[in-house]
Formats: sequence, C-alpha cells, structure tokens
Amino acid sequence: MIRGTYVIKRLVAAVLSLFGVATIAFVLFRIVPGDPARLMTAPGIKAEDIERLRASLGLSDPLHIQYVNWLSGLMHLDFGRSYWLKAPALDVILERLPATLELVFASIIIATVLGVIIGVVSVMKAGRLSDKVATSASFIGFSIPDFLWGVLFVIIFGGLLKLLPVSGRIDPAISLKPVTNFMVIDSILQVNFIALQSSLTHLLLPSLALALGLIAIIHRTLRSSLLDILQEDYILTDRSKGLPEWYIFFVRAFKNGALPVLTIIGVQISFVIGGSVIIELIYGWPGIGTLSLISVNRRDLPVVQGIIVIYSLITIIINLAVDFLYTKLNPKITYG
Amino acid sequence: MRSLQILGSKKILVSFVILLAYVLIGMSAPYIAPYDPNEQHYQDAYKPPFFTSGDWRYLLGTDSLGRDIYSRVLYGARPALFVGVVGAFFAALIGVSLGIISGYYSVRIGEVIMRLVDIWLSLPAVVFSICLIAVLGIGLGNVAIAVIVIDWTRFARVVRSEVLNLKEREFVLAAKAIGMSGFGIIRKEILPNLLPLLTVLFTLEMSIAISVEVLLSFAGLGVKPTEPSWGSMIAEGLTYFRTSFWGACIPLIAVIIIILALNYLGDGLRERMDPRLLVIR
Repeated sequence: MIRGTYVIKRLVAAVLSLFGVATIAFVLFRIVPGDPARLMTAPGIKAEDIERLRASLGLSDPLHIQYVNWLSGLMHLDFGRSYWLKAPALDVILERLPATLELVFASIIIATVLGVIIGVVSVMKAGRLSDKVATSASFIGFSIPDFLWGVLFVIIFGGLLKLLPVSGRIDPAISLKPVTNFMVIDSILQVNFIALQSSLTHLLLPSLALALGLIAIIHRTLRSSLLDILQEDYILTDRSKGLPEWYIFFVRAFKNGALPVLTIIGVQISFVIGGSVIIELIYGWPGIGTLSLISVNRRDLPVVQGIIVIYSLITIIINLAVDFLYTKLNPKITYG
Repeated sequence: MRSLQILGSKKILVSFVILLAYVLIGMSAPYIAPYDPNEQHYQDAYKPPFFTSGDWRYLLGTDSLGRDIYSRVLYGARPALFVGVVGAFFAALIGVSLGIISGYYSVRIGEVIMRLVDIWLSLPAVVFSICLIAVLGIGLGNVAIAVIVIDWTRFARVVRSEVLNLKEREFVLAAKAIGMSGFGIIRKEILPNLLPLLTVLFTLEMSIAISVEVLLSFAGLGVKPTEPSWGSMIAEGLTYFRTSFWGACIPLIAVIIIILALNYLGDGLRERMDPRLLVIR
C-alpha cells in the first residue's frame, strides 16, 4: 500500500516533468528569430502569401492558443505536421527512431558487458598493475567526450587502418527489407548473414565511441562498491564458513555490488542518448539526431518540439524503470 | 603515504603547467603564429606535417584550402579557452548562488529549485544546446551562454547538498548563536568551506565547456565560419581523412590534451582536498 502511493507519486512527478519539458520546447522556438514560413519560400514572395502560409501552419494564432493546441495535441499523440516533410511529425520521428535506439542499445549493452568484466578484473587484481592500468584507462575513457572518441575511431579505424566502415548503417549494396527498421534484428529475422555482418560492423565504431564513457563509469562504480562490500561482515562469515571464493564473489558480493551500477546506468543513459546526436553526424547515421540538426536549421517546429519531447520521454521512462527496478532489488529502501 | 602525496601534487603540477601553456599560447597566438590562420595557399593544400613531408614552411601541414594548420591550432585555443573560462565562471556563479539559496534557506524554495533542476536535467543537453544556438545564433558568446544555461545545474546540486551538510556543523551553529546574520554566515563560514569543492568543480566545468565549444563548432554551430576553432578544424579535416588524416588529427590531439589536463587537475585537486577538508574559521 505504501508502495502504491510511491508509484503514483513518481508517475505524477514524471508527468509533470514531461509537461515542463513540453512547455520549454514550445517556448524555446516561439522566441526564435527565423520565421519558418519565410524559410520555406523563395525570396521574392509576397508578404500576404507568407502570411497565408503562416496561418496555415498555425503560426498566426495568438501564443496561448498555439500553446493549448500543442498541449492538447500532445495528449492525443499528435505532434502536428512537419512543415517540410508533409507528414505527421510523429511519423517522421518514429521512422528514424529505431536507428538511434539501435545505436543507444548497442552502446549500453557493450558498455555494461565490458564495464562489468573490467570492473570484476579490477577488483580481483585490486592494487596490482592490471588494476592501475584499468583505472587509468577508465579515467581517460571518461574524460574524453564521446564525439571525440567517435572522430578518433574514424581516423584510426577508417583512415589509418582502414579496418571498419565509418559511414551509414549498412553497406548500401545490400538489400534488406525494413521490417522493424532495426538493422541487426531485421538481418536476423530474414536470415541474411551478409546483412547481419555488415550491420554489425557498421554499428561497432559509433556504439563503441558512445560506450567508452559509460564503460569507465561502470568500471569505477563497480570497483568501489565491490571493494566496499568485500569488507563487510557477512562476507567474512561466508569465508569462515568455508564457502568457495568464487561463490562468495559472484553470488554473494556481486548481487549487492551491482545495485549502484544499475542506478548509475540509469542516470547515464540520458547522456548516451544526448551524445548520440553528434555521433550520428560523424558516422552518417540516419537517426533522430541528424533529423534534429536538419530540422532546427529549417525551423521545422513540430519536428523539433517532437524530438525534444521524445528524447525527454525516453529519459524519463528509463529513469522510472531504473527507480522501480532498484526498489524491487533493494529491500532496504523505504518508499518515501 | 609519501609517494601518494608526491603523485597527487605531480598531477596537479603537470596539468596546471599544461593549462598555463594553453592560456599563454591562446593569448599570444597573433604574435607567435607564422601565418594568418585564414590565409589560403591553394597550391600547397593537403600537406602533411613536417616530419612526414619534410616541408618546414608548414610545421603541421595544411588543410584543404592550404591554410597553415599550426597557426590555426594556435588560434584555436582562443575560442576554446574563452568559452571554457567564461562559461564555467558564470555557470558556477548561477549554480552556486542557487545551490546556496536552496540549501541554506527554506526547505520549500530548495525543493522548488531542485524540481527545476530535475526537469532541466531531463532535457537532452546536446539537443538543447543546438536549439539554443538556433535561437541565439552562431557565435562564441552564444556558445558560452549555451554552456551556462545548460550546465548551471551541475553546481547547484552539489553545492546544495554540501551546504545542507555545512549548515549543521558546529561553527555554523556557533555563528548563529552569537547572532550572525544569515548572509554573514554564508559569506564567512559557508563559502570559504565550499572553495575546495568549487575549485574541483570549476576545472571539471571548464573541461566540459571546452568540449561543448568543440562540439558546437564541429557541427558548424559555434564560431563564425571565418574564425579558426579546433572543432571546425576537425570537421574540415574529416572531409578528407582518407587522403590525409593529419588535418583532423592535429586539432583533435590539441583538444584531447587540454581536456585531459583539466580533468587530471580536477582529480588531483580532489585527492588533495579530501582528507584535508579544512574548516576555515
């Protein structure tokens, strides 16, 4: 019952955040210099025609009317029509969303796997050379922003070593039916191994660039939390009971040590998503990152606002999920 | 331990020297650069650095328009450091002020401010900065504004929790007991104790501000196209990276060094601060 009110409180807070974000997205572009209608038309056009265009786009209505329309549209999942692409803004966004999601998911998976492995190795060899090397590498991985890693990988693996592709999601010569728009999943579903290999090699560099920062954070968090736990009394008891070391480590210590890591992943996901924008630019990845850059330039307001809301929605949902997962896994936490 | 102490200060020393070097280079670029950064030599385009090409006229090579990369890299320090210092400074100013207010004064205001911070943090930083630049227009000042508007929350959160801690310390309670005003307490007791934390945060913020400048210039949203910036150099260098990767590599190395230096500086400072959370009376 207490749990129930906590859930409701968090959901309400999430909805309020979303509301705040939608408002900011709206306000931001209404104070813009740069008339969307003017950007869509040739220079010689008459003033009254521009006014007609603006009216048809809904830009001549008084601000509060536009605001109400925007909000009520949101609640019906109607983000308006893209000024440029003559299609509902939501459809435009959803068409490119899988590309970005694939990139983000791949990064998170890579980061979690590698981060945990390196973290565990660090703890097992705590204080020794491999630990020191891992910690330094972590520091560097964390300090250098993801898009710089992206550029570095393009230069090294694309330019110097010419090992991996650095542009697009898949070899353009390969034909693949877009079912889910997730290249890897589609390749598997259609049992097309050439497509699978191509999509994976194209996915590797950008997702690795995004993952490095997260790997470093996971490594650091896991290392410090595990080292703390290994000092705890119940570990000592287990040892004196004669339980095998690997059991103590992986079953007893790890389960509790993994909790802070889970929280930190939740926090960092929004940064991974944010970083994906420039990574998409570098690797020619057709996701909502590149869409946002193009749309901002063209003042395609519905699309831009929609993208901001969608980004925040993803962040909020993931944060909620991580929160609830955390409360389930950690019996000590109180719902307040 | 003796060795740890030396290590701690070596980190700080080396990073600080590097930072200083960058500042000096940035300030003296017009005097030490061999060429004007926008001067184009078409017939000498795409030259690699002197150790590959043997051509000593262009120390680090030329880009696609024949501009001297060495000069451009030197000049590139200016926008980066400008945004780094100005952006970090004002982000700190706003964030620290709001952090102190929300930590020291009533709980209600604190909650409201933190709620605002939460909403702020759920906005994707990169997209938000791109939109801000779209609103404000291209230019270094606007890049700095973008940094400030987006990243003040970093200071606010940390400062707030630290102030909440400090509020309960005995010297603050003592100051209250002798009737010191709230403002006086903040000025004399709390702020001095925030300084170590603030220094660390400031170096971190500088490194973030510089990355934002590089990122925005890379996307063509930072400096004006006529101004040299590491970010725009990297973007330009990437267009011909298969022919010669030096065009992108050199500015990339320049950025990486300053960012690493700032992070090591912050890390070193934090190591020194921790066991010595001096209470300044």
